[in-house]
Amino acid sequence: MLEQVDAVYPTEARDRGRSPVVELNVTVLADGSIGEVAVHTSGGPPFDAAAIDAVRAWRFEPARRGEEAIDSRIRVRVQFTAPAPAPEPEPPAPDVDEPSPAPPDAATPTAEEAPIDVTVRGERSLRTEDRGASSFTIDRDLLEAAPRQEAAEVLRSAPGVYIGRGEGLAVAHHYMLRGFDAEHGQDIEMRVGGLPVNLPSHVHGQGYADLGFLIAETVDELRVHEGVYDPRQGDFAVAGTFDLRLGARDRGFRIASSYGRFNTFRQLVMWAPDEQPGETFAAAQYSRTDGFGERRQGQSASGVAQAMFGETGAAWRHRIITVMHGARAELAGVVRADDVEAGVVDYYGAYPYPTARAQDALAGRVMAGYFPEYRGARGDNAQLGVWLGFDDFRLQENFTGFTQISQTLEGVSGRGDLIEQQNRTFSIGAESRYRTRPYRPAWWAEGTVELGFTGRFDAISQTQSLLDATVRGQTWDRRIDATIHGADLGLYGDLDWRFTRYLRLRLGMRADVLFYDIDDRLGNFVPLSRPDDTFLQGFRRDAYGVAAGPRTSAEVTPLPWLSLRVAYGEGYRSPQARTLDDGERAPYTKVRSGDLGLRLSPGRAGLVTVTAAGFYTHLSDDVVFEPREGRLERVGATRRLGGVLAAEARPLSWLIGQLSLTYVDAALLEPPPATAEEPQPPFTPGQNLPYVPPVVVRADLGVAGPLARQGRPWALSGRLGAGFSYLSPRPLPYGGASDHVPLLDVSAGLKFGPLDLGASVFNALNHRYAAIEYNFASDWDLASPRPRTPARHIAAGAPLSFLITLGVSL
Amino acid sequence: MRHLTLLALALAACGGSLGGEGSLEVLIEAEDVIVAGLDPGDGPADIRDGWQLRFDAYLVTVGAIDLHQSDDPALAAAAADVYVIDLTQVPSSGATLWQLDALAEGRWELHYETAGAGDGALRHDSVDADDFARMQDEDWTYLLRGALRKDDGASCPPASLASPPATAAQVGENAAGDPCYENPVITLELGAAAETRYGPCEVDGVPGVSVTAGATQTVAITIHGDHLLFNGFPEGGEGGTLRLAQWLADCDLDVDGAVTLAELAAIAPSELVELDERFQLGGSPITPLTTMEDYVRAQLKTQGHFQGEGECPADGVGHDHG
Amino acid sequence: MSRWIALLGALACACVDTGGGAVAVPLYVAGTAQAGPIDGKDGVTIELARAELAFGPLYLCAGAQAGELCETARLEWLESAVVDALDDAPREVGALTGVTGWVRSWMFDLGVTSLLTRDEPLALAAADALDGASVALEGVAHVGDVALPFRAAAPIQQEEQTERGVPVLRKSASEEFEHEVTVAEAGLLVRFDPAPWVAQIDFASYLVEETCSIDGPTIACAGAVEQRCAGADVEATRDCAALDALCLRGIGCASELELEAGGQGLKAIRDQVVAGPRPTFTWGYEG
Repeated sequence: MLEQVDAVYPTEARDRGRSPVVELNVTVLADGSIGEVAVHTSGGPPFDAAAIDAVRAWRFEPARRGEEAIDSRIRVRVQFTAPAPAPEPEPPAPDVDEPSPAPPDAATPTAEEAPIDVTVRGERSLRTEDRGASSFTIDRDLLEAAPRQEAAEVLRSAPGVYIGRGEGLAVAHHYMLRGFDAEHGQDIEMRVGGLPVNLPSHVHGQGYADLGFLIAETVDELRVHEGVYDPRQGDFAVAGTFDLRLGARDRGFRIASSYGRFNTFRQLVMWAPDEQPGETFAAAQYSRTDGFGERRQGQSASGVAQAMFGETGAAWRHRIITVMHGARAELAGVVRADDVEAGVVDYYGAYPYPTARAQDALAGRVMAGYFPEYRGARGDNAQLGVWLGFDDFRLQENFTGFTQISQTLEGVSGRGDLIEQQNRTFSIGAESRYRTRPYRPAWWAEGTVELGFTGRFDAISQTQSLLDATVRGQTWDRRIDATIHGADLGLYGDLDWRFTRYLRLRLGMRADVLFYDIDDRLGNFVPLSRPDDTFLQGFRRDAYGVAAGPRTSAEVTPLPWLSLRVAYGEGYRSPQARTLDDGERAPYTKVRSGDLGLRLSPGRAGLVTVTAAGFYTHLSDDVVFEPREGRLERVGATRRLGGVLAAEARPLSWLIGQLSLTYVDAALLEPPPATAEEPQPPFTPGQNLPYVPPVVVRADLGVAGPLARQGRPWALSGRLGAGFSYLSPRPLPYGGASDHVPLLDVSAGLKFGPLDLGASVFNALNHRYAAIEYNFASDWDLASPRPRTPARHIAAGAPLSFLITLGVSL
Repeated sequence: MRHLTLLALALAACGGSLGGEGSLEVLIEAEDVIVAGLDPGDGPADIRDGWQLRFDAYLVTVGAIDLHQSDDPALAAAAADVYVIDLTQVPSSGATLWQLDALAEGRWELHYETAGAGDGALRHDSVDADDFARMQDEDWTYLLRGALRKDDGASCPPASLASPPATAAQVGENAAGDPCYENPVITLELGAAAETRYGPCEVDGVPGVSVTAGATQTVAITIHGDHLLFNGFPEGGEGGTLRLAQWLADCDLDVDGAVTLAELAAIAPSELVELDERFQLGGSPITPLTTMEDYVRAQLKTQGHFQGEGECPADGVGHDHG
Repeated sequence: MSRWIALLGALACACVDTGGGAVAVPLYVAGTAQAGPIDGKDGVTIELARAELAFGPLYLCAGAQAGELCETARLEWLESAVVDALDDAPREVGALTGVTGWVRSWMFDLGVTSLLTRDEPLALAAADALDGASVALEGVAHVGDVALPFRAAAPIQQEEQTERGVPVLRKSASEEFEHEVTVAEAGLLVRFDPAPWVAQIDFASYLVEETCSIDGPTIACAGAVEQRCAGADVEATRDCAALDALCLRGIGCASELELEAGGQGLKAIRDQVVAGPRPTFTWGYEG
């Protein structure tokens, strides 16, 4: 830093005695002057304004790539210190991302200091995770541009992503990511604050990942890595990884209440101590709704707390995080489209039978993690982590009406296919990695080496039964009763090397050892009519497998604003343990993923970023949801071939926007396995995969700025936002396609001093759409012969709704 | 850097062991009812009309194992041997008859056959030469030898077909008015051609068998021994099925204490009053069912299973995904 | 906006193919006109005047075996119709609906269908039209030189002891039935032949000449004379010929034979309908 102007402690805030920290994202232009300045972590409007005013006057030594000075973005931390009781103002100590040797003399408004090389340390990422052309980091300003009904909807802003809620508040969202219908998470590795979210071998779907615990105000940054090119990506990174970082930019207290259509209510309380880093916060939310139709009432509550210990730039920093969540909701289930057409049941309704009226779900989760990180003096760094979690899940859902026959009770059938699923998972995990200091064997080569491991152990108990809703939930058949112990130990190495300023290569390798111990208490099931006095029911077995593959990427940077990227990686998805035989080499799904694309960022840093990429993903054997048993079934090898075009722009300090379009052709490459019912499954090479939308479009637009002069205690600012998601018709099994889904959400808000008022409208086009849509056989008519051919079933998505929020931030 | 090299080597070694080959042993398992027989009683697995059944011999011609890899239908393997084996002599650990080596790791779809013995079947040690020769000569799939017992048992052959000896003791009549004769022990010797191809086999909805590289996996073909007495031809679950034997006792037309093939061939199902509405013949794998010999053959065609209770559709299509 | 959305949808839809598709195939039923008398059991010949069958619902399945292994069918016709099994002319009764693909087995009910949700099978319209029966037959059996008019009607359905929730008739392994149904499929004709249904009825047993005896029936026929028996004693006699009737064993004087439940006659019809020669299925029938 060449020139530094201290921020002035705002006089209007002096009597409150706060010592907040303001973090700013600052663009340092190639000439060393300051470009765009945006608040990353707010200390309150007067402090933000004071910090911006000060930083605008700074001058920096610009970052350089080789010899050439370039634009760069840095994060600047400004610590205000509350004035002593004495009336004289005490200026704050500014700090640029790393400990300054000594705080500048507060009395000196301008300080000449030794230049600070802002490109080397400070907020520099500990490791590069942005590898393929389709890796996207979505910052908080974009995440909060469009309104979100729930925190997990921030994912919609990532190119190629769509999430929907088809099964109420207490069942995980339905995720889609560039050609993958990931159901409840089977194809997407999800991490929140470093905690892994996916649950292996979950009874409701492999890799089940419920993000219901997220609190929107605490999502600081979303990193979406599409493809599997980073050796750190583990199980379920098939389509890619969602990595959500948590933090609170608005410091202090916040209380906000929201109320809207369908008697929806949400209460948020949140606090983030002023003097603490942005990662430190605690937040809790409660929400409830009557729902937009029959049996859609639900409630949920969650609390998330995170604390970062250690000064910015200190050798060791320690982060702890805890998450608690509980939700319960009624379910309307699915209804047959032909019944809706015939007026038998309403689009937003549920069947009148007790078995349909007893559909509901409960979810509970607690997670905690401790993640220390080390920054060595010579540029090496390390991270450690230990975490544990407990997840409780119970669901009663009837997809098929009245088609089941009890296997355990003689002559009992047709009591309603109300499937009860219970799943309890206790997980404990650890991870560690170390990246060396940069080696420079020649002037044209420089790089680092990283070694790491991730490990987890899961103890899972699960049941699946049929319940009779007319007789107080009597159990009339048992389908699953199992305990599974599973472990996954992953080991990886990674080279990250730059050869001249034009080429950067990353070569990695990862291997995972998976093992399973399965106690299937209903295994070797004895049908009623067979002698059962010669052995005891049950099938205990264990299995072991190794999944290994390379993770490579190359980046060519011919011009400072143009980067060409190519990447290839192999990932895996662990198998559903219950499907394994004794001694079976755990047949994980092998994923081969390739990406080729370019990224342009012309103009000043952050002005506009355009990404264009093509991708190819091949899966050795894929799975598709089978509604009859509520489980995933193998379909054979598949491939996705597609492209993504995404642009993100911040043309003005008060305007942000992004637009993305993803097209994918998802096809089945080989016939699904033959079964007794389908000895020769229908197959034409290249036929499309069901449920995958070929086109996904997303647009976000946000306008935010002061409406009156900043710096006053009761400054007025406003914001407008809009988000649009479009999902093209999805092919369904047995032919046909679902309807398309265009969803527009808009919002507006005013902030006046500590008060804010906002209004959001969701599905503003009031488009009637199905949140989930399936084709399968069901019988919901008790007075007619049983239909057996596949029929269209839908679970309605929410119609137009609005939410008004009143908040106070102190 | 040296560490990294070691790691890379280790990872490469792990990766290298994937996609290898393994072996599969296929054994045949005698279901408990074949060895222990079926008892009278009211339990779901009992014979409901008071008869007891014991088998002295239960010969079956089985083999022609056919595998296709699920991931790559072009990958096929076969163990073509067909054996005639006496299931009453098979140890409880089963008899390993087929071994398939050098199978690519992964899941394989499995088919097998109960064949006619006349076309090159091999004799298993459990089968004596005379029986084997007879099986071959007749091209039979099954030869069952056993006895039905009931203390107050009687045969009530259709009056129009019955030829009881003059000494036969009549003990009332059945619902159709056919006279019944005391017959507490009735031996059976039933040879039957019931050639059937089974597959694709699955257990609990999971198709096929898994092969692990460098290891030998064992799977069992299970022949259910009691479908002969079923009251229908259930598919999928066999829950609720009744076992009834009076009809078989009534097939002893000459009331000599033995039911023979010739007797079965002489009776039409409609002539057996015991084969009443408790029986559902509409799912018979053989139509038209003109004689009770057809009926016995039809029941035997449903007996092939997999790994105990696993399902293998009978006489489905061959593996051709064309 | 909506126009753009529609355009996007149209573009995306154009290239989607999951390898299947909805299809409706016209369904025709027909009987078989009998060229002459039907050969029955023991030299009896039969002339049928009426042969009606309640048919439906019908399912066509992908697997080689229907029944419980056909939870998801390719095509189905969930209605029912009365088939005049003596009428050669095909009649369209509705359409099979479902999805395209190979079908390898069929299963159907005879107007009375077993549901998982109720103990008693459900009688459909066709069975109602036959007064609850699945099959209704009338005709004359010629036993020697005696012309025996007869009539039979019976439901054929899953019973308490048999399977529940699946149709009573299924394709057997010994039948050929394999067809790929495409959207261009013209129609399916199911043709029934009633001749086998009556071929196993033991008509002669009703015309056995006998007198009262210890083990004999309660009503015996000595020629055309009806004898009401109490053991070997004759309690009463009646000359059926004088009544312009026949004397039938176990029944007595009657102008026609009505086959009763539990008797060999109805059992023979039932066995032949469900496990005798099957209907023929003809694809590509265009009406």
